[in-house]
Formats: sequence, C-alpha cells, structure tokens
Amino acid sequence: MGCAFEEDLTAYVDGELPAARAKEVEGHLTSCASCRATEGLLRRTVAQLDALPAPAFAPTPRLRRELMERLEEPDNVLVAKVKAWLRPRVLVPSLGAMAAAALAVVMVAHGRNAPDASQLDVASDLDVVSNMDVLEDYDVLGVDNPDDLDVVQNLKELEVSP
Amino acid sequence: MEAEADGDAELMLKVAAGDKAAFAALYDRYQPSVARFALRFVGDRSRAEEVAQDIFVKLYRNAKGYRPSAKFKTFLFRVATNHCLNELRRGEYRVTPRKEEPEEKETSLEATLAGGLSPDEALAGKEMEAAVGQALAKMSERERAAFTMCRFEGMAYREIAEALSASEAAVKSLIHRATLAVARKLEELQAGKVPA
Repeated sequence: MGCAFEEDLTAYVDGELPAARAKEVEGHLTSCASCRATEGLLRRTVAQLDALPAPAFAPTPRLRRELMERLEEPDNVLVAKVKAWLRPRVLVPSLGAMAAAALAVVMVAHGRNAPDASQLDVASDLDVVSNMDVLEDYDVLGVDNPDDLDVVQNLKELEVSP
Repeated sequence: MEAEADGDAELMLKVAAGDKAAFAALYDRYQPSVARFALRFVGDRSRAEEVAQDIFVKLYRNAKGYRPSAKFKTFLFRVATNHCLNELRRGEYRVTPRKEEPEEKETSLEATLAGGLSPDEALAGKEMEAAVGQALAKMSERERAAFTMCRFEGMAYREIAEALSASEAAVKSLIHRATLAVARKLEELQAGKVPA
C-alpha cells in the first residue's frame, strides 16, 4: 500500500467524503490496482458486517426496576468527591512508618548502638507509645526547625480550611 | 448542529426536569444499543448489561448538561464512550473476545429459524462474529468505539466525532484502520486461518 489515497478509502466506501474528494478517489481507482483491491475488500467487509445479526439485548422489567431504584440512591460519585474534599490535606503516616519512627526514637534514647532487648526498659517504651501522636507529626514528617514545628502544631487549623 | 426532529431531545429535556417516565421511555428505546456497545468493550453479556445500567445512571445524573442542539443519540454515546474508556483505564473492565452464552444461543437459534438461515449460514455468522471480536480486542479503545458506533449503530462520522470529542479527520482515520483490521481478520477466516 502506501498510496496517498488509501486512508480515504473507507470514508469513500461509507459515502462520507466531500463530493470533490470522492471524485478524486474515484478517478484514482481507475489507475491504482492496489487501491482498487483494498476498496473491494472494504466493500465486502462492510456488506458482511451489515448482514451480521446484532447481539440481542432487551430492557427487561427486572433491569428497568433495578435502574429506577438506583436513581433514588445518592450519587456515589458526588459523595466520593465530597469525601475527598473533606479528607485531611496532610498524609497520615502508615502504621509501618509509625513503627519505624518509634524504633528510631528508642534507638536515639539509648545511644547509637543497635538496641539490646535488655536495655529497653518498660518506662521508655511506654513513653514512646504515649507520645505516638507527637511522633507522627514531628519525626515522621522530618520536622526539626521551630517554624516548621509551629506549622505542624497548627495543622488542625490548616486541615479544616478549604 | 440542527435541532433534532424526533422526540428523543424532548424526552431528554423532560428527564433534565426530573421526569422519570421520560427517562424510562429513553431507556426502553436505547438500552439494547448501549448494551451492544458495552459488549464490545467487556466481551461478556451480563457484564455488558451492568455497564449499560451504569451508563444510564450516569445519563440521568448528567441530564441537566444536555442541550437540544446536540442529537440525543450523540449525547448518549458520548456518555457511554467516556464511561467505557474511563472504566477500562481504571482496570474496571477487561476486553475479551466474545463468548456466546446459553441464553444467546437460544436467541440465535430462534433468529436463525425466523430468518430462514441454514445451519451452515448460522455457523458462518458465529465464526464471523468471533473473528470480529478478535480484531476488536486488538484495537485501541478509540478505534473500537469509533468502529462500533459506525458499523453497528449506523452513526455518521460527524456524530462519532462529537461523541469522541475528536475531529472528523481523526474519526475517518480511526474507522479506516479499524475496518481494515476487521477486513484482514475476515480474510484470514475465509482462508481458514482463524480458529472459530
């Protein structure tokens, strides 16, 4: 193929070309055997597809009733959009990240060496657990300067603003 | 675009005003077309019916966006195309070549007898349908949508362009590539190369 007219052949067969272009294609077909063969193939295909029985579907009473019931339900897409809009703007750390942060704090509290189970006293573990909220905001977010801390402390206010 | 002469546009305006009887009338008229369209994307009859239901819910919820300057069927297929393409991208639906289901086999048999087709002709039709399904599964989503609207819904290129938010030149190209792909597949079938 590769003929400049080839791209227009289906539209020609479908009667979708402007009259002037259709005339040009018609003229071209008399001299181009490749396009004539393609045109013949396309015409046969379109005729075969026209004769193909359409898959049978029908709007049964059950389908109609189910559809009408769904129309009464709240618009789930709209509900999802509103939920997304109301979602806090700051990502909540995952459980894994929280655990990693807790471990990091314990390691810092006990020096840079790898933690030894015997060194971890119950009191410091309780400290970590009871301050989990603070860890989430500060350590996981990597906040370490006073301005950033100020922002984090006021996150609740930022979250509710649209 | 010229205002639509038939009553569909009028019905759709009533739907926009909350008239559910008008919506039911449009559903009865177009459900088969929308389900057939969906079938070309999901390859499964019951899934196609579900998709068609989703499309009609979307149509109802977007009824206020309809302007009678647009032909109703074009508006409907715009909603249908957007739905099928978006859901395909989300991985919600999977395109598989069509398999005939028992219920459909009975319908086909009735149609065969009523239409006076011989068993051989009916078998040839089934093989052809399978070959078309295989060709469609290999097309891009937009080629498949354009081809389906053109060949099975009889829509004009201009209407398809509007439904796809594309230029007529782009639609001409999509339909050409898709038709040629189907033509080649049918050639293979006739040459005995396509498994039925």
